[in-house]
Amino acid sequence: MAALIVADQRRAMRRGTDMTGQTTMSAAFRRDINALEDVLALVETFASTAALQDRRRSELAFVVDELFTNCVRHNAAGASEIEIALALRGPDIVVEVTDRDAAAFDPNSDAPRIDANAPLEQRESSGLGLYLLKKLADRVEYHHRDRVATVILTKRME
Amino acid sequence: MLEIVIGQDGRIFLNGRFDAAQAEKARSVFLSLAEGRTVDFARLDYISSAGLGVLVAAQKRLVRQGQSLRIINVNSHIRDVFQFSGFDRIFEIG
Repeated sequence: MAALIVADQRRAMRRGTDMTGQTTMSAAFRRDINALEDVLALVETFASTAALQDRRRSELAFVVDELFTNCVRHNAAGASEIEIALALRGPDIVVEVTDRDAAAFDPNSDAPRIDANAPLEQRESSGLGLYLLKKLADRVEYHHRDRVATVILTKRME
Repeated sequence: MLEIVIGQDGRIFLNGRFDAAQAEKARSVFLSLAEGRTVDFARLDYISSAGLGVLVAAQKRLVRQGQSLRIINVNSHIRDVFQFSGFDRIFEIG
């Protein structure tokens, strides 16, 4: 089946079906925390199209927020836009975030350790986002080559 | 977008998304609290790590004064986030 692509003029969002007929959506966003509202609008459109239940909508919004915010905060000097693609593949939601101007930082091995048992006075939010999205995801892959960093997060729907 | 509503009884209602873009607005509210409050999450979709950072900073400040935040009406996703992070042990969740 040929992919069906429809352009959304407001955010140049691309939506369609992939070769297996599954829902896909993607868009590129400026490297600015104020673009987060547009990022979450993409998530909401995807979640509605895919008829995700409330819990999955919230989880998806959380992980996309954390991945996008990490690109903005920890790679503020990056020159490219940040690309986000969402897809339903069988029973899985797949989130792919690509930063085309980034130093290597593997969330699986380079993220700070979090002690969930630490007392209040020792608690900080630094590193917490990556820690939580790894807890919520079923799989997190990371690829980095020629300054192009891609995180692929997979979440089982049921 | 995050809406912060202060009820007549002092209860704080967080409505919408407590994301990184909203954290500064919320920080000014939570770090100005002079006493413990109940925070109602009934209409909160999700809270990001930036939002959790605001709550933990407020909790640290209040606990030093013998006060604390109490969080109620937490949805199942946010309950998971609090459990995974261990925040369910540093906040009273009703």
